[in-house]
Amino acid sequence: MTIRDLDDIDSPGALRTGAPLLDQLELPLEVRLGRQVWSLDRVLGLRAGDAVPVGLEGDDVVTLYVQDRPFAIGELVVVDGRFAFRVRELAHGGAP
Amino acid sequence: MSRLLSQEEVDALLASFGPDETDLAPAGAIPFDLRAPLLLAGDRLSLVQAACERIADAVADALTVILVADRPIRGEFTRLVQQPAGTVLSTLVHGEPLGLLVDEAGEPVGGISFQGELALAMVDRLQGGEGGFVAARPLSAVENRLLESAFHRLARLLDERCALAPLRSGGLDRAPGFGRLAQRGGMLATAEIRLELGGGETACHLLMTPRLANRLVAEEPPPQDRNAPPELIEALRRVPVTVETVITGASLRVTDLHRMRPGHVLQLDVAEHDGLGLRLNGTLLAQGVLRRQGKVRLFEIRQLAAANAGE
Repeated sequence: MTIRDLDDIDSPGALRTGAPLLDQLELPLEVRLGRQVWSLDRVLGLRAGDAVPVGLEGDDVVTLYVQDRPFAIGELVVVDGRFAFRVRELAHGGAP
Repeated sequence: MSRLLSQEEVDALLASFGPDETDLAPAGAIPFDLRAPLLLAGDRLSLVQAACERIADAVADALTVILVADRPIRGEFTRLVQQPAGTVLSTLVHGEPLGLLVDEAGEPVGGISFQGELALAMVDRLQGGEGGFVAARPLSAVENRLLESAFHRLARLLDERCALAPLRSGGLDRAPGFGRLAQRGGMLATAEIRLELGGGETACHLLMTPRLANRLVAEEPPPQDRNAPPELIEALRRVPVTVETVITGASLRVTDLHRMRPGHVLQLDVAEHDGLGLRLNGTLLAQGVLRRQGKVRLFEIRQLAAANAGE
């Protein structure tokens, strides 16, 4: 996991918890691409090989969740063959 | 010249008959079970076939556990054949080991024969290998012992999970044509179960005496008890549920989260073609990959989640 260009920025305001052990704590991330309401009938009809739209187009925003809480909104991009998340805006509770 | 016996003489004569002498059945005789006819036919045959489909899943699940497979092994019941035991057992492919299944009294009631590739995969796993697909060959004596141990475990798992219970392992039958199942005689119903093993397809055969097949029928609940009322099913089908597509499996340190700013790119440890999850009310429903079709992104299902999988 990396944040690109982190070392190039001046981040005097970057917060620390003040506890080194907590700073190193790894928190689970999750990117939620889309949320839809289906009928149970549609779910029961799912089979391997089916393709379902995730309700996402080109520059649609997705949400980054940290420990099940929304942390930021942004875009899903691909960097070096891996998914990446470009931060557009930090959520209220996630702003430093 | 005849005479009448006195009461003392009659008592002495009756007392001379021990309990063993009153049992007229010869040793080793198997009482005929009126509940289990020799041949399955009609509704009974349909019920056994339906039960075999579920047992194929139970066998596949048990083998997934034994082989510690990365992905669940899929089992498919393909056919049921009824033949005299002697014919079935004498025509087992050479090198196809047969594990005996015995009932609670230790009587042989069936067996499972393994195609060579499957037997070798189980042996390989016990020896610390990957348990993958290997071309069939005869097993050595040591490999036979290892396979027997794997079969004990398989029998235990089946005893816990399927309608054939109660049963346990009777060990490997090294000469099926002359073994305990052959000596029992009668008819055998043989269910073929095709299995998708990593790298190839193999099979095992579940051999059932009428007594074992009868358990399947007895355990099968009547169809009317199994089905919910149609109007209830129809109402359930219309229940709305929330599904969401997620990328999971990534994590980040607290200190790095605090340094995150708009414009930063956070690289996730998930390859573009790696698994994504489709969740239903928070429970993993399927795994798949993201595809693009014009501007629309599609979630293509690779594998439906196992029944006990969750997040």
